Amino acid sequence: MTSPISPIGALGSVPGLDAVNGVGGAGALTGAERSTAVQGPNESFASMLSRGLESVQASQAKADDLALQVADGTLKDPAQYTMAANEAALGMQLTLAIRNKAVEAFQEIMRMQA
Amino acid sequence: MSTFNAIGVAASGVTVYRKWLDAVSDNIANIDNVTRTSDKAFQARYVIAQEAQDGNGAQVGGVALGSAEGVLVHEPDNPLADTQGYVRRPDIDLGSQMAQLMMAQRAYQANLSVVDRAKDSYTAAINLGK
Repeated sequence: MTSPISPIGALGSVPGLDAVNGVGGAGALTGAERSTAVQGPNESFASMLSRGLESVQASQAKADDLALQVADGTLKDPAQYTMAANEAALGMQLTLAIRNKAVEAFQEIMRMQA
Repeated sequence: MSTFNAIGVAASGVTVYRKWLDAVSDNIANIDNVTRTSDKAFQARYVIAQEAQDGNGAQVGGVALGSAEGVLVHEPDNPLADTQGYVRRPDIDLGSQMAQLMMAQRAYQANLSVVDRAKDSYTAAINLGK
């Protein structure tokens, strides 16, 4: 907790924000992951975010794939595509919300008077 | 188990009911098939729905087939009739198929509205963090 922006790293210990890991499909943080999150806040948050982004990208790739299948008529159920697209959009929104919140927190700290 | 699990669970329900709709439409499409008495009648398809193995939602466990005997109908004018004037028709009740069609359609819609509500809920949760 020596780094000025370690509170961002502490985000990982907030129960609700485990969802970020859920985006990565990696399940809940293990104890070791939590402690590294405190030691290297920048790195850990970045890796959390990039894991989230990777899974968002995977769900978008899946939605793209289904969109192609809709176009060439091989998809039996169009609802499959719309649901996958919804899931991809939600994942994107979640990742963006968390990223924006982190940047906001950083800027808040940068604005602090010495 | 993903972040937006409710959507995946409802999607499995949507798939099950879509298959049921497919089966019912297949049954109705073939309801007037006529075969020789020496051949099998069209067998109605019945989708077997069951809980998914991972415990998340539903899946189609298999398809059960209706009677291959069908019903013998006296139609001496039919070119497929045997020497006694009988042909074989599938043993499918249109009324029952229509009732199944309604059930499958409504359940399909119900699962889609679950997807819709889940999406709204998740969006509200995300907006809370904005």
